[in-house]
Amino acid sequence: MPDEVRKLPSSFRDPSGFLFEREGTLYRQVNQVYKENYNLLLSSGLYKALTDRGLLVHHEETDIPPPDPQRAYKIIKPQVIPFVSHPYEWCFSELKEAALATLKIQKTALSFGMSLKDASAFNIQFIDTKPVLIDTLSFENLQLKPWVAYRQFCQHFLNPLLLVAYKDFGLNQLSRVFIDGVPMSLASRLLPFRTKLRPGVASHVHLHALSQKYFSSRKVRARERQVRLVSLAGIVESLESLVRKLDFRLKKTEWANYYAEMNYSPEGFEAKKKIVEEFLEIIKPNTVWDLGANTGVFSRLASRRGSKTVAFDVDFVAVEMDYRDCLKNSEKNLLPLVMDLTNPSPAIGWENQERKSLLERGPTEAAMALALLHHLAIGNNLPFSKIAEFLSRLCRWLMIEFVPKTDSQVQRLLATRDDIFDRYTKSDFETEFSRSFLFVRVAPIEGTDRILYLMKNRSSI
Amino acid sequence: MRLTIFLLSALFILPMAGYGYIDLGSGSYIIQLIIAGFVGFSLSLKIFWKKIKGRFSKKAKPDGTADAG
Repeated sequence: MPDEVRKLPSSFRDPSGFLFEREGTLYRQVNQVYKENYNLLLSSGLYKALTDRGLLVHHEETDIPPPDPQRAYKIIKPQVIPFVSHPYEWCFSELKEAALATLKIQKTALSFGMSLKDASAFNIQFIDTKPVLIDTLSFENLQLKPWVAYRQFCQHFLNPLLLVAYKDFGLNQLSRVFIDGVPMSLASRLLPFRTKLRPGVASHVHLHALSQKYFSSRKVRARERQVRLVSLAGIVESLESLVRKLDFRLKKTEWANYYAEMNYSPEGFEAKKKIVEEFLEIIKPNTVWDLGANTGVFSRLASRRGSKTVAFDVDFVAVEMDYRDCLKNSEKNLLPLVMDLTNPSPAIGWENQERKSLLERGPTEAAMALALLHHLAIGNNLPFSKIAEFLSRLCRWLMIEFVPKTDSQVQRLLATRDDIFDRYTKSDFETEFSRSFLFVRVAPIEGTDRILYLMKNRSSI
Repeated sequence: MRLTIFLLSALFILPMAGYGYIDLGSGSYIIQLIIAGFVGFSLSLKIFWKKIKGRFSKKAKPDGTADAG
C-alpha cells in the first residue's frame, strides 16, 4: 500500500469494502465480492431514489489506483460529511430522525428488491440537520428471510429511544458503553412494567429479549424459513409506527432556561452578538465549534453566514430544543450535539480506534467559548492554564468571554462553594491564555463587566 | 402457536437476566418470524375487510360510483 494511503479504522469489519484517505481526500474501495450488489444498487434505481431524497450520500466513481488491487472492484469518492458525530452525542429527536431515516431507507430498498444488511446508528450522519446513510455498501439483494439487521436496529435505535422516552434522558449515554447498541435484555429490564402492555414495545423489546434468552441454549432448526415480502414490509412499518409515536417531553433543566434567567440586559445581549459577528467577519471561518452553546443563539450567527457549525452543550434538553428549532426552520450548516467538555467523547471500539474522540475530530478553525469559562474554572475547579491548553488543542481561532467574579452568574456558582479561586482574575486569565494564544481583539461588552477576546493560536495546528 | 403462547405468558412472569457470550441471533430470528406472522395475518385481515366493505358499498351504489376502499 502506498505510504500516503491510510485505511480508516471505522470500516474494517465489512468484507464488502473499506474507507481510506489519500492526500486528505476520503475514498471507499468496493471489493469484488460486493460487485453484484453494488451494480444492483445502481441499476435497480435504488441509489437514485435514495440520493434524490437525501437519504444516502452520493458518490462518484474514480479511477485512482486501489490500495488493495487484488480485491478491488471500484473506487468511489463519497460526499463529504461536515462533522462525524456519534449516537451518544445526539439528543432524542436526532436519534428519532436517524431511526426513521433508517426505516425509510429499508422500506425503499424493499420496493427496489434490495435490503439493508446492517442498521448501525454509526452509519447515519447529519447534513444540514437531516440524517443521511453514509455506508453505500449496506445493501444486498433481497432474500425472503427475516431482516438480518432487525436486532441491530432494535439495539442501536429502538432501545435508547424507549429508555429516554420512558425513563431518563441520561440513558442515551448507554450507547457509549455498548458500542453495538443497548442489549435487548438490559432494555427490557430497565423499561417500566407498563411498556409490556404496549403491543409494539412488548413484541419488539420484551418478547424479543425473552426469545433471545429462550433460544440461546436451544438449537434452532437450520431450515430456512421464508418470510413474505408483505410481512418484511410489515415489520418495518410496525417499527416505524412505534418510533413515530415516541415523544420526549421537555422539562426544565439547569441550562435550558439559561437565557431567561441570565443577567444580560437586551442591550448587553445585542452588544455581545454584534461583537461576535465582528469577530466572525475578521476570521471568516469554514468551521466553528460553539462550546457550551445552550440552545444555539450564538451558533446561528456563525452557521447563517455559511460556517459549518457544531453547537455542543452538556444539557440534553438545551440540545433537544436547539435541534427542534433547527428542524422547524430547516436550518443549514448547524449540528447541535450533547457533549460534556469536562469529559468529552473518548475514542472507543476495537483498539480504541473505531470511533474517534472529540479532539481527534478537530481541530476546528474557530471555537466560541461564550459564558463558559466560569463554569469550567469555578464550577469544575479547572485552572486557567488547563483550560487554555485544552482549547489550544482544538482550535486555530478562539472567541472567549471572560466573566468577572462580580458577575451575578459567578456569584451564583460561588453561593454553594468556598471561594478558593484567588487566581480567578482578569490578569491571571490573560497571563495564562497568552502562553497559548495571541490576543487579536479585546472587546468589553457594553452594559456589563464581561469582556470578549478574539485570540489566535500561537502554534499552527 | 405453542411457542407464541409460551412467549406471551412468559412475558409477564419471567424477569430478564443478562447474558455474556452466547449467541443472541437465533432468538432475534425467531421473534421476527412470529412478528412477521402476526403482521402478515393482520394485513390479510385488513385486505379481507376491505373486500367485504367494497362489496357492500358496491351494492349500496349500483351505479358503479363506489370507491375502492
